[in-house]
Amino acid sequence: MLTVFIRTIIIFIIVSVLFRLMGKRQIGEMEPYELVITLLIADIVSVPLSDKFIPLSYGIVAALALFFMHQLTLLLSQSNKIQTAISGKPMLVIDKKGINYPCLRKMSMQTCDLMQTMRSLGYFSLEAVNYALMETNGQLSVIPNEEYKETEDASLLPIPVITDGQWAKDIANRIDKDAVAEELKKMHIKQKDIILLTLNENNHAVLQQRDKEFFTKDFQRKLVFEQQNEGS
Amino acid sequence: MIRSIVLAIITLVLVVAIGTIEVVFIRNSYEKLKDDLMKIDMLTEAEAVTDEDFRPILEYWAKLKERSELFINHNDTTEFNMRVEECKAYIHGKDYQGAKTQLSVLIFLADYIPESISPHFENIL
Repeated sequence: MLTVFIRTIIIFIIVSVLFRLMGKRQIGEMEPYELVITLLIADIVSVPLSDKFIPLSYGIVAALALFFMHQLTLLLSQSNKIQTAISGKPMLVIDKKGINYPCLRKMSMQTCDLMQTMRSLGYFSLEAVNYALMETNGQLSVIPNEEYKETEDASLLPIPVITDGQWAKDIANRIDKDAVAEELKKMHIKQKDIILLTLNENNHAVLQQRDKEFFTKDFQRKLVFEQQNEGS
Repeated sequence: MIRSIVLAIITLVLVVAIGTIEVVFIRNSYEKLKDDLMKIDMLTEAEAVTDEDFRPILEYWAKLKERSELFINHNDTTEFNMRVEECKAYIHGKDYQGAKTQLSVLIFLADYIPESISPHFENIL
């Protein structure tokens, strides 16, 4: 037992030093290859920790190999071409016309993923954003639409109704789906062509179809039910 | 950038140096051990081997085992150790057939262990 204890301490010290030399402090700052290295190091060094028949040097050398690859990748990243090949490049996912859907699909992202990321940054509506850039480390950088903040709709919660051509889940008690479907039919818009449709309590809709700019519409008809408190 | 170059070079040199030392040390040590085992094998064949003849191998192996375990999977050294002890018991009991069997395995392992850590294509894959 003492053996495992001492081995763990040794590995911990060595891996800590290596990570310190790598220079990143937060997982959120990591490039894809750095995340790979982090995951691999955790896996590789755990083997000699738990199995005393594996020499400690196996884990240490494996960690050194990953550290070497990290430094080599840093050096090669001096070249823009190689940097792009390794880490990708920032992608403009939202502009003033709306969501850049082909770009999103290229990154294997769905509209709901993008909306979730936007909400975590405090942007609940497509109207609230002029530009959004998906960085290579997965973070979203946003230029907000300052004029939107002054509007009444900015204080209301947009409810995702349709994303990526599918009805959102669990909206039956909030949205009159039949009424929405009717309105879309009147507008000659097919549900499967809609990449994003949101509605708020004022029946203010933000809608974007595939390969088209987004637009807003204020429906006269009541499409959003009053919110019921859970348990009432 | 300079820092990355320096760190990369230091890491590479360190790992290559340690790796080379490991391969050379293990190969030379187990080669000597194999030669000694083959001499014992010849004596066993002639049914003339004694405990005294086997003692140098026991002493050499005791030191080599400790150093080997820095580089080699301990399962291999444990296996070798077991066979050495069995061989010692057979020689002490003058069971030359049993000793010969153990010696043939030991000679095989003395070849296999250095091969298993060499940077060959088969080992890498």
